[in-house]
Amino acid sequence: MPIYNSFHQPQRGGSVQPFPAGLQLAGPVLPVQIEVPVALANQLQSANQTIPNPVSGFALIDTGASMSAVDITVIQQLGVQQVGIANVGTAGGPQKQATYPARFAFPGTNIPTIDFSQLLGANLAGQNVPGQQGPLIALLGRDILQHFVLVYNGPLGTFTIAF
Amino acid sequence: MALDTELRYFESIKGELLQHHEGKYALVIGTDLVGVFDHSEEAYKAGIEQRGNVPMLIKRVSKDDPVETIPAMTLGLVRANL
Repeated sequence: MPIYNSFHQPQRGGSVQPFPAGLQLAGPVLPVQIEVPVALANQLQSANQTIPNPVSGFALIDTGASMSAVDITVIQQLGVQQVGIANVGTAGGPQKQATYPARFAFPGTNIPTIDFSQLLGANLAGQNVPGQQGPLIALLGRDILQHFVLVYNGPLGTFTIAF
Repeated sequence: MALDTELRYFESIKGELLQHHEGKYALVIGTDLVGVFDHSEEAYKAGIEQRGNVPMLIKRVSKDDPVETIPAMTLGLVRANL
């Protein structure tokens, strides 16, 4: 079972120091590159149309979310059209929200590419990840976490994903 | 809301779909049931190939509609600091 380890442990004078505050501030985040779905990329290619460039940022692992979400501005940049409607629980009762397909790649990690058939479109504008260069553009919910083993080591400032 | 037409059409044929296709995924564009598929990905591929990059409703044929919960978004707490 492949394993990915994420460390919030800055090197100081050649030795690695645990940095639990880094993980507490940033949360369990992964670098992510969001791309158009394969079916759409193939259709654009066969029509000699330009495939939109992937959008890079970070994805936060959110065990509280039953469904993964993507920033709506990313979807607009990619030109992906709506494919569904999800009922999302709110304080005022369930509300209908748009869903979209997308492909997630995780550069610099050994985590395989994930094809989402339905992601919730969300407003994540202006959400930056402390200590990281790049915006927060996605939430990874339990729809994908059901395939992973996740270990959150707060005292050591690390988290581990096995898949 | 986008896909209102598709959602209303899906609800109008849901009873019939439940009889023969429960657990599968219906693809609806406008008031046209394009097809029923085993997987959501297959439905999207068929929609793209047959109609292009247009809004489409891909919906699981099920008696119940699940309610998704995303507290961080619902409560606006993705980044909350004291």
